[in-house]
Amino acid sequence: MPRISNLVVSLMVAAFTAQVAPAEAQQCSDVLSTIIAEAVRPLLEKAPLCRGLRQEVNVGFGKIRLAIDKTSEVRLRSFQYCPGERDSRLKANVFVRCESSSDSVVHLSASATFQLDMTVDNQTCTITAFKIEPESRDEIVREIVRFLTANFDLTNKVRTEAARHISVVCRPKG
Amino acid sequence: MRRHISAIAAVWLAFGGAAPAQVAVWEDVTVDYGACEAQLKALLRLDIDCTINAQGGNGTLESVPAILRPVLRRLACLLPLRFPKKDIYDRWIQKGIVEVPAMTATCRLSVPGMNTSEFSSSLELRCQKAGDAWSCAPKMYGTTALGIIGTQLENFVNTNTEIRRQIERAVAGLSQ
Repeated sequence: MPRISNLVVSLMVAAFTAQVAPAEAQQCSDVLSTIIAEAVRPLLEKAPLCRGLRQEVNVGFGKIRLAIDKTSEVRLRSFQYCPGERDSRLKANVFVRCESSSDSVVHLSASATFQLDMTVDNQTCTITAFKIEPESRDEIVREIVRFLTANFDLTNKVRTEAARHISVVCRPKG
Repeated sequence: MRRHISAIAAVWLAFGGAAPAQVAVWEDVTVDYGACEAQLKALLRLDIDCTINAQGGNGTLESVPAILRPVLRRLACLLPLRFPKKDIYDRWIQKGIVEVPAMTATCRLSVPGMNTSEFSSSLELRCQKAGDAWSCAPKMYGTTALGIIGTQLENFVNTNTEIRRQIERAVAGLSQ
């Protein structure tokens, strides 16, 4: 069960990723990565990344509703910015901890670290490629993530959330 | 001569324009145009060969997109000006029109303990007088090596009404 929770959490974090297809040479810059992380960190670390993490689980004699939709911690552990002529690539390593609300019957907590990788169009600030991978080397965990991504449209949900955050960063009044 | 103004407005102030009393958008950018101002005021000097320096500060930059704020705080730019003074009236300034040709600014972004990151950007300015008011359009383009940050910076400079207002005020000051 905790494994499933971990995986679901990981999918939400995709709020900052996409399927990355490096179309052109982008050169990563330590200085720019450090500077841009300053702008991204406060937005990311207060984002409700666990919102919506609820599901019903069949426990044999019936179904119970489990939720870990309270975001208890988000940490941007590393960030890399690679500017290109037409688009820019952003890679981030993010730790997320989600837990059940205090009024839940069953209290759960799950945490995971994710590698996010996305490409953003320089002109429009829109995501053109997006990818999220849990850092776990556990193949079962990775398989479950793939299953959930394929069946619950989670990649698109996360991508939409990522796009919302990027538009906040790009618009005049942040 | 150091003032907290936009770099483009500084070019105009260097020509003897009145300093804006208060600026809201780029008040945290310090611009040094003293060398250029002195050369412009030297009546017998036939050419201009000076550099305008702009340095970011630690202000809130509230009207600036969030992604640009940390960039502007660590920015240091040089805008070299080299031209014969006769160009000012032959080419740049005509009745009711001010057209500054493309200039290239070179900038550095610094973070302690890291190598600096450098980029360049082209700047142009066109102003036209309609009635008693000047209407100005700055154009920043061709920013290198910044990716989405460069595009956002160009969009900001080219569309921000406060920057435009500062320039128009500086140009109006030159008419008096």
